[in-house]
Amino acid sequence: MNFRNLLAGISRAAIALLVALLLGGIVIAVAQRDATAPIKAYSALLAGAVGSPQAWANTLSRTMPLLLTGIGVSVALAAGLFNIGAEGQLAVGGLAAATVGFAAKGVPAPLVLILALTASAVGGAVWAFLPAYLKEKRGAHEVITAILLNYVAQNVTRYLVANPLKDPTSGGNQRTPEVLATLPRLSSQYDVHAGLIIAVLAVVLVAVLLARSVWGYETRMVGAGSGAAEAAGIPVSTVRIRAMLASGALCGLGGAVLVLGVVPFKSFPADFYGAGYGFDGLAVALLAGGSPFGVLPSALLFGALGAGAEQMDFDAGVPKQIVAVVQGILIVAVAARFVLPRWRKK
Amino acid sequence: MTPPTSDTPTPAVTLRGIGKTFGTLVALNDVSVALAPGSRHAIVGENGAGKSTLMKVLFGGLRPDTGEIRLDDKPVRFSSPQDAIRAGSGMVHQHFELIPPFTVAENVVLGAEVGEAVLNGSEAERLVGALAAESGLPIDPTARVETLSVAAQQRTEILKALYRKARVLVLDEPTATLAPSEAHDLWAAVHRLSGAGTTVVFITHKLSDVMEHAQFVTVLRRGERILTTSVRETSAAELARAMVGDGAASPVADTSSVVSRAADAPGETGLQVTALTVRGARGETLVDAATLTVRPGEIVGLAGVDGSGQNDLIEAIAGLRRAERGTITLNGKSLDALSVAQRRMAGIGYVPEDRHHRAMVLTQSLEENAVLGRHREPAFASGGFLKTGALKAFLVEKAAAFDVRGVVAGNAARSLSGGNQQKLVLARELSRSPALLLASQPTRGLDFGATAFVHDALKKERDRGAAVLVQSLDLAEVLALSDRVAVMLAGKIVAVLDKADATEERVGALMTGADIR
Repeated sequence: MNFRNLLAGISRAAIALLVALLLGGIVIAVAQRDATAPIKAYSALLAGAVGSPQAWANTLSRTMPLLLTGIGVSVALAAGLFNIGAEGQLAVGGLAAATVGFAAKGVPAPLVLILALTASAVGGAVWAFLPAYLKEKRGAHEVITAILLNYVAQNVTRYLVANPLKDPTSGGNQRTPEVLATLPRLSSQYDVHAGLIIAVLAVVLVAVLLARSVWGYETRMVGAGSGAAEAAGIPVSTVRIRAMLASGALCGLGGAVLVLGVVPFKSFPADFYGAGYGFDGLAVALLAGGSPFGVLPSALLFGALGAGAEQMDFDAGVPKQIVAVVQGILIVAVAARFVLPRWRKK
Repeated sequence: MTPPTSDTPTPAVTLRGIGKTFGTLVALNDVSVALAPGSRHAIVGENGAGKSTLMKVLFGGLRPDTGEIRLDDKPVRFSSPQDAIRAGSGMVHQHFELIPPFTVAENVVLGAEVGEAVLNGSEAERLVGALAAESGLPIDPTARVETLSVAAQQRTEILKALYRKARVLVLDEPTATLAPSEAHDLWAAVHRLSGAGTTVVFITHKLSDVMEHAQFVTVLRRGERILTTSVRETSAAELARAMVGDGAASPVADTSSVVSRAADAPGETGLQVTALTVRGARGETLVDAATLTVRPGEIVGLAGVDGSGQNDLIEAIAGLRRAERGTITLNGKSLDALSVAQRRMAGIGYVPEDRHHRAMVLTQSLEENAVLGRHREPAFASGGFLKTGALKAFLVEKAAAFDVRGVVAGNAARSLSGGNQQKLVLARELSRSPALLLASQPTRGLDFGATAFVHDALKKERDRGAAVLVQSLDLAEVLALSDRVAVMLAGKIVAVLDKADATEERVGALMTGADIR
């Protein structure tokens, strides 16, 4: 990807964002029956996203898991697969991290974290292996199986947290016991922790591997030209399964950084599934246009929209679901470009 | 050039002065044919002779630039296949247009459910069953199409046309995918239909079918009608000559002196394919017990009409298709259990037929394409990472050696023209000095200069001592390149000729089955 393509990608995303904000503004104006409502709403959104150090902290906290699910989905996309199972993999990974995190009694804190992070990656990878395997060996479409497995993940994690893994003291607010160690905070004042660094490093590492490593090369070749890859002796099925495993592991890590920090959870709540970071990861990857490095700004944007939405709800009385509408329009605007003239510029 | 219809005053179909051009390509030039009612008329010609274009014109799929079509002496204009069906012409395509999960009856009546909003299943089955019995096309109307053999699917297609009251039935390569006994049954049905007054036109490559089953035959060559005659008044040899043109009866000029090279490399047996059978996804036989040897230092050309199994044989050798039976060895080493990558390691270089889907990944960079398949070698990767500098250096070196124009490292492969892409593929595949080079249609779509370059490269590989197997639909190319020519027909290797015996006339006859009789 050269400089001109990068520029084209950025301007494409910027135009999509502008269109989305414009249409979202119309929705707000109509919903509030007030022509000035969009301006009030958007200034509150901006303030809530980047208007203060606390706003930045909120934005970055939300960006952190999105970086991991976003890059996870991007890896699958590079191999020509759509990992719509990110949400399920995130939940399974999160529960695996929480379980190891509270069960590893007597283990030094740094080791608890390493074990918990590893467990989340393995959990996410296992959950992603199922659709990948079923696709390659049985011809089942990964989108269908992954969607169904999302439901399974939702109900299995909820069941486990409500029963064997339940913290007996948690009462009606069912959750696992708190983890024995948390990721170190990056600031004494604000709730941003080392999970953010892990996430950024993961994005950079995966981006470099995709561009430069033999693994990344084979993944891209299979994704963009499976017939030629096959004729060149690249084991196409294996490469696809490997990409899906990597994708699931990254999404699983996304779950771990959510439960291993001071915010938001420190333990795994029964209603963890549906936090939306998995599905938003799909949006992040699509907005990034398949570029792994593009996940960095893309995740930041979605993190900012999410944080700003709370403020908008609070200050301007505009329901935060409106931001979901903006995000939806954004995805439609990007996806339309993404699906139709796929990679044409490259 | 009056069509032989003088004894039948009103032809069922008249095509008069039909012309059709695609850009600069003249697909049909002033073609006139008349079809007598109830006759069986064969259209023959090489690939690209215009057979399919002519039939599309007759069936409403293409509108001719010039000329007119008359049905029962009334001028008609078809702007769509629906018009043609309404006027009474039905076409059975080579690739069937059926809906696999539907039953035979549902497929037959689909789109022609007479006056009923809802498809009446049992009524349709009864009607289709009756029609099948009446026209001698035995079939179970309740069977789902996906469970049927190719022959039964074809019968379904024919019933579809008959159900729509087709009086003119066009069959495109009807026996191409049929076993001999199935073909026999089909012809019996065709004879019965024409006896009952249906005019049957069939396109074929097989002159034996023409001689046995047609009453009239029209030969097309390069878009022009060369001859129309009664089958009684011609011979397969005459038709073969008309198809490929005159003056082709001499062996190709001697290309080099290397035929003896095989003896120079004792112990090197080259490629040995023995009794290889390959089946397609639907169980059809693509390659039928093929046995072939390609010695080091010789080029063997595979000749055959399109779809005779040439490309399938090459893909099976490359490891892209699994052989059901038979063995493949290269210099004495069995390839049967090896993956594509292992076969490449064993010394196979492969220039695929479909450049855009098999040879290159168009959206990825030129240097990455230049090492595709070699990317794990120490020269190009270490410690799990690609050596970017080495990739670029390799690209630049190969671009210079193979005269690939327009190469800029970092640019996507699609930035090159077709000829330059093919040169790069060739450079890549030859870079490992393969013991066996497989080339499928290596000059398809290339201009004259690039074609000559590719031919030259293949000959140099031969002179280096590689075993080279080339398949091409261009017979002249096969003859010009090959030291020996293997002719394929319906998946079988029907003859292997030395260069001296491989005249265009003889190979043309073998390709079309005219020689078998």
